[in-house]
Amino acid sequence: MAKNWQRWLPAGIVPAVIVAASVVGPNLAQASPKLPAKTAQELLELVADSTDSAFTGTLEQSSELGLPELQSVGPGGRSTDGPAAALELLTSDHTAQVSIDGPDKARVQVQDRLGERNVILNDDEVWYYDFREQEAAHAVRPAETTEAPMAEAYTPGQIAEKFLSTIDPSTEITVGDNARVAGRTAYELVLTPSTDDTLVGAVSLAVDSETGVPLSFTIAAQGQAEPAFSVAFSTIDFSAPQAGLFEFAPPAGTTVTEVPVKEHRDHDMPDRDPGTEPTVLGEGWSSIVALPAGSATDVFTATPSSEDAAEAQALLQQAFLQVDGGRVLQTSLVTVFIADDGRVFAGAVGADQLIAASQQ
Amino acid sequence: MRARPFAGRALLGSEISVLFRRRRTWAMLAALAAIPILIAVVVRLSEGPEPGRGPAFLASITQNGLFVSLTALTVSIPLFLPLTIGVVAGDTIAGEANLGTLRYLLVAPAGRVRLLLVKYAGAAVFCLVATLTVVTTGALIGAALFPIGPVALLSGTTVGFGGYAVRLLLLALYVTVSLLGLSAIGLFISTLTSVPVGAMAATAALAAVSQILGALPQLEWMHPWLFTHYWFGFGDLLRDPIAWQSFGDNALLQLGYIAVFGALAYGRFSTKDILT
Repeated sequence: MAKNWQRWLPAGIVPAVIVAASVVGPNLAQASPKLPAKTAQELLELVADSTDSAFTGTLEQSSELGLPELQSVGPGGRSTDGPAAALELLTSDHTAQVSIDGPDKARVQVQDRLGERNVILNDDEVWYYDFREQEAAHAVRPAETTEAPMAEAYTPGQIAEKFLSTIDPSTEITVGDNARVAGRTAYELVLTPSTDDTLVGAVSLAVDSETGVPLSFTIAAQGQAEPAFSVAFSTIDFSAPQAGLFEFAPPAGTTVTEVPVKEHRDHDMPDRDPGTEPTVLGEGWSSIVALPAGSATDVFTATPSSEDAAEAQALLQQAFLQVDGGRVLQTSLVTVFIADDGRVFAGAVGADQLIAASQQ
Repeated sequence: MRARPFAGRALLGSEISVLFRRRRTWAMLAALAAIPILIAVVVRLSEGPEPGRGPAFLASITQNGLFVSLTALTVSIPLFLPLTIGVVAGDTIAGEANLGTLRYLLVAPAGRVRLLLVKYAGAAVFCLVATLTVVTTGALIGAALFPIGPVALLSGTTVGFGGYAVRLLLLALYVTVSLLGLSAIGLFISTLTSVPVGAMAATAALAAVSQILGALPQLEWMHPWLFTHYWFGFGDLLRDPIAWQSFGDNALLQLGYIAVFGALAYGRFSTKDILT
């Protein structure tokens, strides 16, 4: 007969094996792969050449902006109205299935818990579908449009392109350590602001070594260990997605809104009051966007028109801090200052710089 | 003396038949079946709920009765299913000890390991039956009270009855797998005591504790290790294409819990002095 302590052996060994596997596994996967060396310029060209590719992948977005979590906890309710919805999309973590087939077919499926939000681009048709709200929106893109459609603006590739197009002397570009992202080998491109006046610490981009498709995009904030914002593929498959995936018809019972598309955006705009135009102060990483007086005077004081508006107002009051001469919303990447006269200043800089700008 | 190869199967058969001959088991299944019935009747008698409010899928019921299954499942996962599983799993060993029948079970050439396996298998079968009860009652009562038709998936794709039935079965399987970790915990707790009520309460309470820990953003590092972490991931089976990731992750996590608590239960039960 086995001794008693021997019968307890499995109870000791099993947890030890699980812990060992969960510690060693990720470390093995993270070992830096060996790749032929490339200069930053060559990497930029690799990214530029990758725009027409087809793939399906799972995208993980996470952010650590130092804002309160807005996503509600229960399996049911989610606040989805107006500014709260936009904030929720930015501040909480999301998983999305992204399918791209060339420049004209794309589908992004934001996988909410027991719900899903879809943006589908199929040649000239654009659909938005929200299962929870049973709402859909439909628009037809004019054929000659050059505007980047919403769906594509979500992938690391498009975000990266926007960032790369703004590179100027204020940015230092270096090649980081090779990495492994979504099971693929990748080069890392690191953009560091040369100024200390910004909250942005560094922007890094992992580029697939074979196809040039950006696999992850991370913004680090000054003095914060965790990335402030990151979008990365956890899986990616470079074969063309099923064609049927881009065909969409809203299911019965859905409220469909037709969105009219402005044919010529620049000419059709009604003449705006020049007093409401935003101005940009400074340049590069530390630039500040300023909205003139009256833009946001009554955000905190107005009597809310509905229950949802009241919720949004309460949320804002909670997020903004009262300071001398106005209110400040401080996140690890972006600061917003609303002066008492309703002027709004925003930028990737500290609050004191915004307040200084408001006093000039 | 070596046990006959079929002793385990015979033991399992008798375990399951004892389980489903108990009035308590039927009462719990009836309570589970009452959830979709209650939801369907309330929605039928009231005005249609506003989309986006209340539990998931509630607003879709008025258009398609088949959604009652999904609403009922959403409502029963946090409390009712773990509660019934807690009762069955907590009773496995402690119940026999309490009745004084454990001794007689071990006199038969079954062996303690085999008895543990059979008890666990019985609890697992109950998980499947409980989940199927909720899903099928939901579909039936929904079809009786509301119009039914092709069902819209989360991605907006519409599937026919056949496709939907397959997805519902997959869902039931997912939820069953989700509950296996909890069953293993219940089995282990049940070997610790001869007071079945204590083991039942402890198991059900652990399910609640795990869900509360999972709701605290401060403990985010711990979340992927909680056995309740993927409980609501069943929605991934309702996408088009199906996102299998959470099914695999969930299965792996539950397997880990089964291994750990199975080993603990073995350690405890095989070294225990059985006096009753």
